[in-house]
Amino acid sequence: MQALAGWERSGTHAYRLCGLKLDSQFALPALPEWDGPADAAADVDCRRGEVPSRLSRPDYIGPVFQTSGTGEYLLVLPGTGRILVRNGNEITVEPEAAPAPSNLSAILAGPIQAVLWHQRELLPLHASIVVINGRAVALCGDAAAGKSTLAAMLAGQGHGVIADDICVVDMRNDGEVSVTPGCTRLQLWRDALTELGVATDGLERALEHKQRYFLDCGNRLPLQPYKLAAVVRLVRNALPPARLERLRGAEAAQAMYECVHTQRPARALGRAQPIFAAFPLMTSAGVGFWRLMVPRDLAGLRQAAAQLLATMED
Amino acid sequence: MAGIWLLASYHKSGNTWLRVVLASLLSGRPVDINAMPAVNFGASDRALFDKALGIASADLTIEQEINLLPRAYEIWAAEAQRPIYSKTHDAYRMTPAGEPVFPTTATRGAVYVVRDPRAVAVSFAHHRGRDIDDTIDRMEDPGGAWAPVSRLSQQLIQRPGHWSEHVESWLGAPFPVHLLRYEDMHNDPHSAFAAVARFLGLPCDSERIAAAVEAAAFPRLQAQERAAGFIEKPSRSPVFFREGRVDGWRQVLTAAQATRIAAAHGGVMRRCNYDTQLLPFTPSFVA
Repeated sequence: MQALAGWERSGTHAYRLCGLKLDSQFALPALPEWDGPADAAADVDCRRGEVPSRLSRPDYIGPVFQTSGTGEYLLVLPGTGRILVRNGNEITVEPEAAPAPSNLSAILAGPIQAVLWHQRELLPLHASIVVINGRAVALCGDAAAGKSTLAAMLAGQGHGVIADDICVVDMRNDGEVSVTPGCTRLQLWRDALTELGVATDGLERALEHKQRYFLDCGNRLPLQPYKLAAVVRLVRNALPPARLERLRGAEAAQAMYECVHTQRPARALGRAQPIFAAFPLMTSAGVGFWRLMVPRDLAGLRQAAAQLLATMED
Repeated sequence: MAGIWLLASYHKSGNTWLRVVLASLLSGRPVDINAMPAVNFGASDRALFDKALGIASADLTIEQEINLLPRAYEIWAAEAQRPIYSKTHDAYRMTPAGEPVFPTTATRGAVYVVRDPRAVAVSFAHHRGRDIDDTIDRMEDPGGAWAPVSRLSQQLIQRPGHWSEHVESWLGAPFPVHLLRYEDMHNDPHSAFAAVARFLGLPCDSERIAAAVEAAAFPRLQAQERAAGFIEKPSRSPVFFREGRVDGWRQVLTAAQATRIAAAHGGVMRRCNYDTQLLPFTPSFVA
């Protein structure tokens, strides 16, 4: 609670956002602090300001968001406020209350960050990233698939975690597919932490109204781009035993598409075609696509982690 | 618009059985209980909600989550290529913002499955891994909801509430509702499921109904679960398809428990043709 009360402190915070500098008037504890030159210009600004209730020329109007062209996205979320994201470098926030609602920070660091990457023509996957033998493995899946829990388990076995929730894939260099470290602290729920044997005492809360915490896994790795070796789609609540299946062709393409973060905003921002085009680029760069069937209990998760390591360390 | 057919019930009232029959009817062949995509569209599915709205429900408050549910249903209904059969254990009720959770414009109707609350209490207690008295308390709690805050569930909040209010809420819903008694499914499945098929506009010729009923016979479901497990079984419950009996409660409940349930829910029980005077065959009663 103490940490959350200071979410909207005066002054500006500087964060590292997958290699970019983000200046923010709102505290975003999910993001690592900026550790580059203090006088570096911000690549992205997140500021408090007036935000309209609708875009002047919307191409898409949904229940909670609108878009205009490829460069404007507006979120209108009763109970939180309005957030306008422009051109991949400008976030304007008009919170509903003062101090800002407790879930604003999580929304900014989650779906809004993903929209920002879509606008910057990069590919954000809904994934945590673990580095195994120097190669990045994206653990993808729907909400509650167990991405962060599996990442924490692998971190406990000595592997580095370089991103949680969002994995930003960069294919701008010909023939290379890389990912850059993002949110290096995992966000885990109390029950998952308990299962993993981690006490919540002293952990910073990630959400005030739910028992979600930040977990620093240690295992520091250089903040550099890593070659993406594998996209692994987790399917939770599978029947035992855990199994890892290689996907090819249409199945692999479908898995990749399903792993895209904030798919509906991405489509509305005109990203559907580039996302489909990303698949052949990724396969020709050697990225493997997998499906990991994970039974629901801790034993199932352990089995899944062992299978994944046996294959990825090979 | 293809729209949504809701398959609504309080917990442990035969919803899964209904969905297996429907899946067989829709596919025209016996189904694998772990692969029923035609009837596995959960009205509380977190991933579907997130994808429909383009946000992360995990970040929302419970109030925001419930207020946005009608918007998700509208999107699902508008984008469906064919009718959606969607299971729900929620009562038919309003959002905090004051509109129905299940919008009339998105909903074609509901099959509401009701089961004798005395049998529900026994089965639901097994399902929850809690004792029967605690479960009877839960069935009398108007605020009874399932909304864990210590973990991220694949399900959104579910608000079944008070058993009687659950039944009455659905029977008073402002769209067509077909009442299906669990006991009728058990005693005369052919007629019960033929009526459901007619209501949903599905094939209801005798042969297809008979085949679907046979495919979903309780011993077959139990055999499937024994052989391969069942993905919907809660981890705290040893089996999902446990007994499937109509009057099994009479060998489990005490007279006091049965009397308490009848006192709390008697009006709705009578409305649904349950004999509130029936008592258990327990040793205490026999004595």
